[in-house]
Amino acid sequence: MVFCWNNCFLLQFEEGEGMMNKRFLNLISVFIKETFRDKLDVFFTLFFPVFFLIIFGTIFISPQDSVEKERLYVFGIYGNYIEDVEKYFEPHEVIFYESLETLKNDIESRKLSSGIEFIEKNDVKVYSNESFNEARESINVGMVIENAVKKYAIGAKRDYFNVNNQLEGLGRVVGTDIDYLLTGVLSLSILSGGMFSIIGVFGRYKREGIIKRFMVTPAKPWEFVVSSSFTKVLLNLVSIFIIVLLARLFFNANLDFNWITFLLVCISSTIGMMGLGVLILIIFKKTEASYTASSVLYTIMTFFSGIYFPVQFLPSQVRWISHILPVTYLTDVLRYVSGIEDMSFIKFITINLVFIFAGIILLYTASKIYVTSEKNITT
Amino acid sequence: MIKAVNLTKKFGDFKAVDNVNLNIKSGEIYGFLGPNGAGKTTTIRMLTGSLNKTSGDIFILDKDFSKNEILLKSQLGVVPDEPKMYENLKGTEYIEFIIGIYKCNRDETLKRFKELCEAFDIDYLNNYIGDYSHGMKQKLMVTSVLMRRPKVIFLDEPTVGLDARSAKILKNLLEKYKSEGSTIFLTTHILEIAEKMCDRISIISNGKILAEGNMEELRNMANKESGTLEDIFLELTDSGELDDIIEEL
Repeated sequence: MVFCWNNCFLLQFEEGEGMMNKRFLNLISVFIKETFRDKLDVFFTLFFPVFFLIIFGTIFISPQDSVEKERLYVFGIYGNYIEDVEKYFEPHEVIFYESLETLKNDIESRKLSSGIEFIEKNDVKVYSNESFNEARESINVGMVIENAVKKYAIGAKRDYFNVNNQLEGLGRVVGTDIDYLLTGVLSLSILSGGMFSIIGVFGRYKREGIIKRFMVTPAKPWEFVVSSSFTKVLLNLVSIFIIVLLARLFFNANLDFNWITFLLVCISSTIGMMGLGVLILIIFKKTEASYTASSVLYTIMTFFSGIYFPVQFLPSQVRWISHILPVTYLTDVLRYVSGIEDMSFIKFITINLVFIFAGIILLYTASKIYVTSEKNITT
Repeated sequence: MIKAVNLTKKFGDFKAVDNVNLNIKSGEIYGFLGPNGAGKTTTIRMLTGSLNKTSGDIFILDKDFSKNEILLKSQLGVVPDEPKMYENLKGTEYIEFIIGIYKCNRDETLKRFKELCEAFDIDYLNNYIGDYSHGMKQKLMVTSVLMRRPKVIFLDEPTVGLDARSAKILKNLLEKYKSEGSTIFLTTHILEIAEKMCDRISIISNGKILAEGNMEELRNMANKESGTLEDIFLELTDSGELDDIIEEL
């Protein structure tokens, strides 16, 4: 006999010790090997998002752009509640004014990108030159102001924070373009890694008769679902790590991640997106139909979730769509943990809990409906 | 050891298995024969817990299957009609997976498996299962079941894809396990195998058992004083159409 057992990645336990774990870990071990050897799965989870990052990063951003844009804007500030406010605008330049008239004059003469009047610490008015109407620039300036003012006010009166109406519609808060792009690519990576992979794994295992074969073993359906899901989470984490690494190495991304909360978001959102995949699978039943439906949903989410461009770029009539798409919230929490956007801690926790519980409930339902339904199929 | 009481499976209005009753004793090789679509695989799938029954009761090792499914599944060996396995695993990894999922004693099981590998001439375990031929997969499937030495073994067309040598070894092994007290439930289209190996045979057609017993009892049921199992099988399952077809040809 010429086969070798030493090549095996074994999980050995003493007999009688941790027997449930032994079976469970055994399943995970098998799914890890299965997943990482499935070229299609690895491509779509690991390399497809990287491909997106490289394409968008190369076409739309150069490292020099990121640096230059950080120095681009000059803001004028007037008001009584402006102590230490300049640090929240860094690295943009801030000029303080004694009189509102002077500030407005400098805006007129285009010496300033924008002017901000602090009526209260948490209530501001923003002034812009009317001819300053180039959409992209206008939105970028608005984003910087909103971000800075939010951060400034959030320590004082978070609950009553109000940005003057003049800023409405100007968009969300971003750091540099690459930071913005990176969080978008991460969102899509988590979405595709969760949604597509769970459809793929159930579909492929069903097609190959693995689930049917599994049904005659003493393992329980939930063990099958949880171990396969765990593997998908792991693969997604690897994908995320590669994307962040590449973005830092080649595109000067400089996100200030809180790594613990970042990990929490990655895990909870992957579970949530797997739940979404399961939901599609339950609705459409057949793998091919589920793939088509999820592709359509993926496209909708790409355009309507503020991933590659702010939701404010969309016509106001269709912006409501973004509020019902889970990827919008995923992008929000990713931008929060990467330090380029503020969010209340309660909202952050709520979004993560919704992802986790919705995902777990749907995955559990899948084990009941989808895996067990194999017991009603004749062929 | 294996008992089915009024076992029925319906798909819509179609009764794939219709009130089947089985009572198979310990240390018996039981042949379950029937034409294509007769309900053999459906019956095996219900008996092994991979298909829900519509009605009826199943008892294995004197325990109600529906109440002790997980426990009983760990004591069953099932060789399905198609050797479907994880294509991206190597043979060695698949065996480790089976050992883990059935919580077998690893050293003892591997020792038995290596003996079976020598008997079945399996030397391709470091390759991926996706690269195996049907016969190679079937040999791995059979050995992965036999290495656990389950008390009850279900085999659905086990010799399909096996070469003559492997088929012969399998038959000898099943005889040996039977003598050691294992119960073997076997379906096959090769009637010579069933005739030589099985202690009792039942013939199913259109979901109903037409006849059951040893060879002598089956001959009596078919009103044939002599003849092979093939003669009896055709007599019971064919309504004279076969002679007409042959004559036309």
